[in-house]
Amino acid sequence: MATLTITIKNGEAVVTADGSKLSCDTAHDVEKAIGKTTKSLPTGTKVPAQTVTQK
Amino acid sequence: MADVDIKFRDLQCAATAAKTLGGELVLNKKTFEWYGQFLNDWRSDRAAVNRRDPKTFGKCDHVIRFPNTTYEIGLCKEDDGSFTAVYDSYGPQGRTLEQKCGGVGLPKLKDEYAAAVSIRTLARKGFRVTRTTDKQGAIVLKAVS
Repeated sequence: MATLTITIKNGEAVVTADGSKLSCDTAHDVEKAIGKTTKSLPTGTKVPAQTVTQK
Repeated sequence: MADVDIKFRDLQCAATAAKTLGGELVLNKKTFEWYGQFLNDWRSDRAAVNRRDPKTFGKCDHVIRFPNTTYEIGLCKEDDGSFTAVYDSYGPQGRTLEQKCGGVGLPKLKDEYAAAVSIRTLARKGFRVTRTTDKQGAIVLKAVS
């Protein structure tokens, strides 16, 4: 199981997965970040709760 | 007339964002409602006159509109195929439009569009997505595959 969290506020988004965070300014960047993140996610990855960014 | 710092690349997601905020996307409506006269009395980084010919004000390819205001958001096609957004922030009509979309610069419209794009992208990749809102008002999408 792979888990990914996206937090969006005030035009900015943070994509969090597997302990890494990618900040995005546009929806297109979010799309690219999801692609990049999911490609690198190993099977069984679960994101620890503390890595979820609260903006 | 104000420019919005956004590029819509997916009109379906733009429609979803507008609907989530209580509005609607009207496809192929070639004009949008505004004050109707360019007064050249506003200097700001957000001013649409910085990058658009005032003669084009009120013209667009699609429109996002909301209840309780006559002013609308125009979506204008760019050379790269995406759509930028422009609207009139003047007066009570403009302020109501901004209130519907989270304030100056329409941040909630941008956030809802990003959320719609994210959900679509994640769904295509086989993720199940749940949406919540945190204490700070941020949209939180949790995706599990």
